[in-house]
Amino acid sequence: MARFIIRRIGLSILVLMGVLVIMFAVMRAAPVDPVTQYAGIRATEEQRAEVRTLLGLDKPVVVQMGVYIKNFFTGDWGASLMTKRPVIDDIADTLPYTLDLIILSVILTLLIGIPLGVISAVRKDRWPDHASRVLAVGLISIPAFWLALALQYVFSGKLGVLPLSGAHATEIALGDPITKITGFPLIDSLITGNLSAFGDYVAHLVLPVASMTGIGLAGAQRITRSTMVETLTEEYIVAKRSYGLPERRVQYRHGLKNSIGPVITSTAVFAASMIVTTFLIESIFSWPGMGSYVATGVAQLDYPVIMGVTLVSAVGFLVLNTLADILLAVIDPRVRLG
Amino acid sequence: MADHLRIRDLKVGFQTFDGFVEILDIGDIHIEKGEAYGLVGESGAGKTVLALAILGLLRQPPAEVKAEELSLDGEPLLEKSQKELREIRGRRISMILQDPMSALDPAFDVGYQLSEVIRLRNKMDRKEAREKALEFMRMVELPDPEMMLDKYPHQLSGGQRQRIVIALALACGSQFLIADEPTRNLDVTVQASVLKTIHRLREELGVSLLFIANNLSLVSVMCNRVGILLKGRIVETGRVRDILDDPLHPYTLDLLRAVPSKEEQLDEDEIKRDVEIADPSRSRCALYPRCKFRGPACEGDTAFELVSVSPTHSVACPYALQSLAAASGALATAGATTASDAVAAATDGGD
Amino acid sequence: MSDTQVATPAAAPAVLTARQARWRQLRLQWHVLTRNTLQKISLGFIILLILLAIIAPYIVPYPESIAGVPSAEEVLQGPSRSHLFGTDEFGRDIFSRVLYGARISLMAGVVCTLLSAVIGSVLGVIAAGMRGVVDEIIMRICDVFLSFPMIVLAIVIAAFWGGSLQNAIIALTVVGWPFFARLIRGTAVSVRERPYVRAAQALGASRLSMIFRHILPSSIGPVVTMATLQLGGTILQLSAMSFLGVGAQPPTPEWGLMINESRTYFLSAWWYMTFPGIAISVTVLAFNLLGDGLNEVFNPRTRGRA
Repeated sequence: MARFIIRRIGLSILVLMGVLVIMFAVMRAAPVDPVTQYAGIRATEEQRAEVRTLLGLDKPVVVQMGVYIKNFFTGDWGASLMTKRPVIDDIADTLPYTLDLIILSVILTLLIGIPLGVISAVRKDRWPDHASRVLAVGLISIPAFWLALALQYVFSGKLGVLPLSGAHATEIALGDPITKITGFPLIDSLITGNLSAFGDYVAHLVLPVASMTGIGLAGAQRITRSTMVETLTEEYIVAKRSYGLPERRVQYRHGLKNSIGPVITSTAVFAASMIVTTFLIESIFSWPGMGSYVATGVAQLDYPVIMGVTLVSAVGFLVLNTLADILLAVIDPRVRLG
Repeated sequence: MADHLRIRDLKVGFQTFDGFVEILDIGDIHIEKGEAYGLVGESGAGKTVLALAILGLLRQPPAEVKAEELSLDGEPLLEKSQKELREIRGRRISMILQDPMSALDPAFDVGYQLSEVIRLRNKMDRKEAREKALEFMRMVELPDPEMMLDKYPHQLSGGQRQRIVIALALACGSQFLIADEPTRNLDVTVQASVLKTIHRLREELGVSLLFIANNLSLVSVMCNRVGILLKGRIVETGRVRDILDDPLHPYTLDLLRAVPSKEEQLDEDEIKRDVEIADPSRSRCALYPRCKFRGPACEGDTAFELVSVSPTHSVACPYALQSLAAASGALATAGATTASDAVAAATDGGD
Repeated sequence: MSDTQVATPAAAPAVLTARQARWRQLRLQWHVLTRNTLQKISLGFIILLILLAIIAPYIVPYPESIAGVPSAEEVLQGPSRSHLFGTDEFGRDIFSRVLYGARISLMAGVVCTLLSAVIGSVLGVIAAGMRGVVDEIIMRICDVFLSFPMIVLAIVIAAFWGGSLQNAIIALTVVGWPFFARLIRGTAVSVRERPYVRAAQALGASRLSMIFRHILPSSIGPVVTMATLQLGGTILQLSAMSFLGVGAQPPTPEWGLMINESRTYFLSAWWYMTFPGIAISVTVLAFNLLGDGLNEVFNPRTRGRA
């Protein structure tokens, strides 16, 4: 088992290298002159030469790449042209907000989506199946940003029960802000006993999380259902029935355990697509996470920001996939024992 | 002795894209307590379907199961609900499946799968159940069971897996076993050893056995009585002795002759007959297109019924019956002592 | 002992010619595909959509609305008899724009998916056919590309080279081909191990003929299914990118772009945001349903068992 984990992590690091190389290539290929960006349009030749040395652009490409990779690991990701702060600091500020959204959405997705899928598979072609499937395929076809807007419109605009945007109401942010310990508002507000801020944050969380979960649970339902339907055609399911095992046990213990593999793998893929969805959702709800950060960066053509966030996403995705593979090995003995 | 399993007029069919297809039309199978009945037929004859139909494991659309009688210990099975059937499955009748790789759940170790079944019938905790599982594993002659308990199906060899499958069927504690081609996917030497185990177990435990196979010689070793299944119909049935000494149906003859021997030399006519294929629509007998003995008596559009030739031996073939009748005359003259001799004598005169 | 049968008995199993067998299989596939009403509707809808997309320029009620010639008097009006979906802030007829948008989304989606499928298939087949180092390299490249959440890379590319529908399509193709490559490679690998393919190999069949006569036919099913499902996803992503500003640019009547433009008026002009959104949802829904149906056709195990 340990060997498997080590091998898997090693593979991830290799892929990470590949990602970094590509990022470097993209950066160099971009029709943007970093010298001009840094020094300004009016810089003189000497100034430009200085900048070039400063930025290390006079060294051979391979060395530059080496420097780039080293910088990645030391956390030197450049500075944002907008905020003038190191990109990595900005990301440290905004990442927890994004993670809150993603983690909550993934948890809810799994909690709702998988059972729906199981019910669908077990009662295949009867009305619970049809209802679930229509719901799922409908949700998965709706653009996430549109769902967000619609929810905003109904619950905030027309009904006024939930806040329109942002993560904290202004009164709370100014009057009783959450002290930063871990950087995660949910945890920090609980630790410091700041219950009003906690409640306020949760209220602000509802709509964004609902938008993301809506789409996610559709995917989870679909893949769970399709995998389980296939699993239930297996010979050993018939065998277990022939021994007289109660149907519930046959379906949920034997059927589900064998189906969960693909569900996990696709949840990893899905969680990764969540990274994408957050960008959209955050800009709609003005949520102070990485998505908004990069959206502004894109608008301003702030390249260090764009690159930094892309790196974080890629790394995050990689981590998720590795975790999913390891989890798969835990569940499926064939994977870990070969 | 009372019948353990009794089947009369069982018809099983499936609704398919091309229409309704009838798979089985079984006239009569009865198995007494402690008896071993062998069902022999080629692949695709519907043998597994029969096993599933008996256990009620066929989903009724698209399948359709009807019977005059299908009873276990006198209790009719067809009208029972799934809930009632679940009580019967395992406890009173269990199945040994064909392909051990797919019959075992790959996600659980062998010990778990055995304990699961054991605890279904007995109030035990996990430890006790695992002890009992070891017992069953020894019963099926598995070497080093303690080590094997934690293994997963894919880590075992084919023969070991099949023994586990047998152990599972036994662990249910039923008195009636259906063995669906249990050695089909195994190497020949392993086959022999697994069959010996099954045979031994039957003698020790006294369970009734419905043994499904495609090999008549296997069946003749394992069973008391035999039924020959041709495309879903039983065309001959009798004690093993009857079938081996006295095969009547042309298909039975084919099955027996399937082992090539040096003595037999086929003459040209026989070869031509063997290769010639007749139009299947002229008769409802499934063997008609390739039967060497086909004749005018075989044509028609109803299937042939099983007719008793002796208290223990029945056959569904007009040609065989005809020859037999003709032969009872020839019996005295030719001094033949068995039915098939008489048939042979009767046909020698002219084809 | 009577022969009571509930439905029409099957014809005596006859031996079919190769052509008859293929025809029967097609009929069977069609039957499975259109088995339930929902799928029939979605198939019909897609055909309708394609037709509309083709003739859109000719039947649009207000052709000038597409290019965005403003009509100041009719700014931001709700749905009415003359403007089915209302008008936007420039007085343009939203119905016309949504209708024309079908054309844009469909074309863009098809081009993108087709390119991804072709590139991915070619690379996948090469990987499976060449095996060894080439296979490994191609697969690792796939992994790297797959580790970028699609849109992120697409946004990066679009951001650097400017936002336009074309760039968005290129970006999504670059990110989309690994799915197909993986799929085709998987199918190709499993096909090439099959006994009949090895037999052909033993008989001296060339690699090229193996690819065309064995691998390709087996792969068509899964590829078509994936392409249909991808098409829905691609349309969603294109609209998302336009929504963010890195895809289609104004005044193009692209659905996602229209939703973005509607945001400023979102509380007062509900129709502006609603109809393009419905258009996207319904279109993607139809493709997803079709994809589901195709999946049942080509993957019989998803139909369950007796």
